[in-house]
Amino acid sequence: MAESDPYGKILLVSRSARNVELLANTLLKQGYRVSISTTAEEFAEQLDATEQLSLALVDLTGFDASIWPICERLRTAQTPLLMLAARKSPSLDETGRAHGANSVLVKPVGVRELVGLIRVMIEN
Amino acid sequence: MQAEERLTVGVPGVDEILHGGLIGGRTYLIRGEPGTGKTILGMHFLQAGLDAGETVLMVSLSEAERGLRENAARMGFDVEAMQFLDLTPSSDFFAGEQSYDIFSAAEVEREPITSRIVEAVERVQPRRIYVDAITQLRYLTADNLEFRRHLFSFLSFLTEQNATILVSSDYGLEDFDIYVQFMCDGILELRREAAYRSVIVHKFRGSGFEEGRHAARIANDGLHVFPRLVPEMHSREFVPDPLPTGVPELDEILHGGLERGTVTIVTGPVGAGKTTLSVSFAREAARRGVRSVVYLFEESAASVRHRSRQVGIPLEDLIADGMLSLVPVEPLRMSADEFAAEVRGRVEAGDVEVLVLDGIAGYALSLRGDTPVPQLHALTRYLGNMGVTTLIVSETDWLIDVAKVTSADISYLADNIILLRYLEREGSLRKVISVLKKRASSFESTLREMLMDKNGIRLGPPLTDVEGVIGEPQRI
Repeated sequence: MAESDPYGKILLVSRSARNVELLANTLLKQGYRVSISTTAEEFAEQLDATEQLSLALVDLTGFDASIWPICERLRTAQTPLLMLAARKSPSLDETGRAHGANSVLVKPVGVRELVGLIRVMIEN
Repeated sequence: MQAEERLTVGVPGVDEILHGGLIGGRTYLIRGEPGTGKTILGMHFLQAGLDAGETVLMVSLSEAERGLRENAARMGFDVEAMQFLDLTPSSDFFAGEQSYDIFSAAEVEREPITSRIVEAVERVQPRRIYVDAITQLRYLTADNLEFRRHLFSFLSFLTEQNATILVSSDYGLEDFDIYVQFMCDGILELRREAAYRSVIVHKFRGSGFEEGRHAARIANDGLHVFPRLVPEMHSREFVPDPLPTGVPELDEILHGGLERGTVTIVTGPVGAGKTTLSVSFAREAARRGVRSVVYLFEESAASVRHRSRQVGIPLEDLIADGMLSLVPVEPLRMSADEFAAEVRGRVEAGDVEVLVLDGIAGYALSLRGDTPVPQLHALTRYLGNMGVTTLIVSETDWLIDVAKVTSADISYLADNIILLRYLEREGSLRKVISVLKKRASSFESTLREMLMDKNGIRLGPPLTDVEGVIGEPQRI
């Protein structure tokens, strides 16, 4: 991570445009740069881009199993991965972690908690 | 105690209950289930401000502006002049473009809503603010503690504007409004039970108020409230002269007539002539220039007019002159408080001095199974204080048990009791009249036959050839 930019770029992935918008507003206010995807294709394209991501945040709601291979690519690149799910599910939890998630959170999340967790994940 | 400025709520009955109106610059809560008229009361409150030349603001958290404006305009409120702040979710929220689940609504909505309220209040500078419904703010906070703090600071902000504030709260499954109740300077509750509506004041800092339930009605022009009658607060100077009954022999028995300001119960079995006799008394008073009203709970005005004509005491001219009024009352439609308010109107504004209430059974129907005694007590005390001569018609069973002369335990309310009965004589039923009680003077305790025909009402001589145990005169 470059010292001149301790925040870096976060990739936001969600089927809900409003979710992405709210997340982006929150993180931009914190000083992060963001890029967004609302489909699996866009998600994959973002990973093709040259810039290294500080963290990826993936809201699983509405995606099918095609999301998992794309998430694996983040693990290969050693990018911290935070997943969000609509409900608490041990199997989803397990699958998410198996495909590279450092954490699987249940929505809605508190703004402060999310920002804090992201900061910790990027620093480590 | 200094006299502080009182603000009208915009509903006269409510001002009366609050002993003058709201105290300015404070916060008041209106509680009630949906449909009880909270928003209407809020509208009256804002309208009263407009009438006084003030700027007013309505903040709506539950109902969209357009519907509010339309309903209020239909009731005659001057909605064009009111400032509105509509904080309800717009339709595109439902259409999905605005839906989200990443953060809670509390976190996302609160700041924009709060800043819109602050902006509106600072821009409009209202003297009166109505917030409908403040409990909606609970959904913008994460927990009850945060709700209390948020609410407190919100109400503080509004109070600092030197405005008088009315907020409404919805009862829900959870009683968030308990916090609001603690923070407000006064609490009004609107209730609806079956067909009857009422207003109750639970708290009013800095002033006394009339406790208990007061009847209310929502009409096309808004909310009407009928404060419970408090007889001690009313009185009028009068001379307790006896009024003649219109039946000379009856005046003889009564040693003059029925005194002004007294209550007379006319009781007896069905068909014994109670209504005719009572109406005759009212008619006689009207003939002598004393305004009279007959409230008919059990019979139609046409039927009474017809019978009166048949016994030679036509009422039409006196009705046309306005000296006598026959007022049918549908007992299931009007509560006792409303009836008392109607009576007050006639007595105070309409100069009525003779009142007939026909009859107790019909009147009791309007009390929904409660006993008529407390209401009737208040009403008769009021009428006595105001110098109104009152006749109350009470029906008894065919066989009279004098221990229970009246159909309810109301004998104590009566200054005078006139008893009508039947007597079998020479193969026919005769009507018989006697006076059981008279407080203001002595009276003749005889039985006399009462004749009612086209020549009018007349009493025969005292019946001396009748004997029997008390209650049932028997033929000898």
